[in-house]
Amino acid sequence: MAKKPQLAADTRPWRDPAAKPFVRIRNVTKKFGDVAAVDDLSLDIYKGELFCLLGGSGSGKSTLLRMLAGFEVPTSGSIEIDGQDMSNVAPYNRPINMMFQSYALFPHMTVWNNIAYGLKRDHMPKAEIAARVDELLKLVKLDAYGERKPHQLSGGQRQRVALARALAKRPKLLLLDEPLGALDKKLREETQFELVKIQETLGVTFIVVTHDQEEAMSLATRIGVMNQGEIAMVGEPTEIYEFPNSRFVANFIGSANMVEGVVTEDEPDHVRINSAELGTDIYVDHGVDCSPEQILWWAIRPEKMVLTRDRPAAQPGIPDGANIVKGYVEDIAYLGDMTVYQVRLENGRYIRVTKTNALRGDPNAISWDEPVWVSWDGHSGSVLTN
Amino acid sequence: MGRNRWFLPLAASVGFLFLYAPILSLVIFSFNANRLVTVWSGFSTQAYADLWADPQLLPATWLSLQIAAVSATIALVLGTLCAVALVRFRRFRGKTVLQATVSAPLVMPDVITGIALLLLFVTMQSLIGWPQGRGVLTIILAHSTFCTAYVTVVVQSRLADFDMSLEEAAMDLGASPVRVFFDITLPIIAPALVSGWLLAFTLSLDDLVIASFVSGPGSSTLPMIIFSKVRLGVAPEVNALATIIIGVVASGVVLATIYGLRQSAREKQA
Repeated sequence: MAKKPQLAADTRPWRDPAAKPFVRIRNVTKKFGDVAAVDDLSLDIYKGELFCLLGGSGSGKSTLLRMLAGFEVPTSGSIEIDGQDMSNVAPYNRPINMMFQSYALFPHMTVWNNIAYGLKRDHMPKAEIAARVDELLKLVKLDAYGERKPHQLSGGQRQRVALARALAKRPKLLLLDEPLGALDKKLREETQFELVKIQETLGVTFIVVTHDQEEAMSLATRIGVMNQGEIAMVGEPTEIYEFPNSRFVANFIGSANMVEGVVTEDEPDHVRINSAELGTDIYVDHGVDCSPEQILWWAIRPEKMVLTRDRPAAQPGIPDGANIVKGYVEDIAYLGDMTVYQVRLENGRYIRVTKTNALRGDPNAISWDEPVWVSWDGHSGSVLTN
Repeated sequence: MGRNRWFLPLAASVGFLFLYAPILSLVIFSFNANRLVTVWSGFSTQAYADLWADPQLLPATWLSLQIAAVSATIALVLGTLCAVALVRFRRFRGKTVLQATVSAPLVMPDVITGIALLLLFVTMQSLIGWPQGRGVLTIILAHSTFCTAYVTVVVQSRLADFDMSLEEAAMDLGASPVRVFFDITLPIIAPALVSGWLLAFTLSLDDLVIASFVSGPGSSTLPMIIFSKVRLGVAPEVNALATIIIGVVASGVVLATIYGLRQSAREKQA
């Protein structure tokens, strides 16, 4: 593993065991009837984080967010924010604001009044409200739109009004429910960076719920992958993608080729797995917590495999016959920036390999029905034991 | 396409004629000098003078307007509560029954409703002594009862479209539930409340059958008076009264339309 460059001051409090979490979710369960939407979930989130809760529909991520906002009451467990227990605090008394998926802009109020609404409820002096609202309108680049009604705005503008309104009270914690879900792809990419910039400028802690992994990857300091009401894995985007802790996470994030295998050699510095499914041996160049004869799974990302016409020379350290397999190109999907190859192995199984299109209109590119060799490094895949 | 050049205007004219010819003839005959309504003998405003002097028509109009306003207001409150219960509370015992019974008066013939209410009022009087006799009070009770059904249907459909996250957003920004209701919910469902009230007002003002059953001496509503007068031949002062009502309603509609057009023009401009 390449050592990550250390910053002078580490801005990642979750790596510091002494750091005090800002949001502390402890053993929270939420049941609707007999169904547990959130099941005994514990999670710590630190000040200044942009934390993404990522999961499919029905994974419980929105329920968790609504419990943080106070719209749902946990069946059991506790939620602490900034050291204060939130169990008996009504939604309108929490130091939290939320940006809704539907934006929930008040249709009968102007943009200006929408943003000012929360400040008026706090009985802030009029002059201060005006100053704050104008400042926020500038922040979201809608200075000229204060007098419009929500229905006179485009989707992107509405999204920014919703963000400004949620930020108006300078909450310690901002909850965002699918903040970019309703925008088209181009706008979403632009807004992503704006959102991160605003979050960094204001230093507010963000918790974002999303089902879009690309969004989570590009926004988050850390991601919590949710599955069936539980947190499947918490980690930085690179950890989640490169070192998934389970078959679910490996499959859910990005795409992965996953095969079953049996451990044949279990040494402190390497592991050898025989996979009938792949039709070859897998050599892993680091120790894994497993035992001989154990059945486990091995996953590899399509871009971490190399596709060649000729059999590549054996790599130093990798025993002959391992980490290489023969196949035929059955299908090709050209995506512009890269090409996805569907390769049929000799045992009939398909694997996916992607290749970056670095060369413009490469005339020598591998084509349909060509026999090919697929190979990979000793540290390219992840060994998964659960 | 060529066919449309004459077909559409013709269809529109026939339609308008069909709808407005009766009203137009009524307006014209209200200015008739002849006591016989159907025989035109010259222009006169005599009918309007007669109307002013009539001992029954104007008081009955005033009574009907009062009954309509009170009944519509009671129906608005009850109907809105009903609608809120039906839309907002997800499941409760008797929800289906409430839904069905609330909309039953919409399809119930007025005669049946009238008899049923009359029987109820008579029984109630003999059992608990209230309401005493029949009169304005029983008409108001009867009208609020069947108007509640209409208000419920109107408000219910508006509430069903209501985005709950609007209320949550207001609460999230620090508004207490009461504030949320007055700041957010009420302004957004206001159009439905207004149209529900107007519908109830119109239905009450219009009702002859139910009122005939539950009214008592000295509490004849306008439709009852007109109906009894017409049985003796159409009186010119009824035409005059109808013309005045049409005038009031028409100018109200025109003003509302102008206001609406201005409003949307202003919104487009902004």
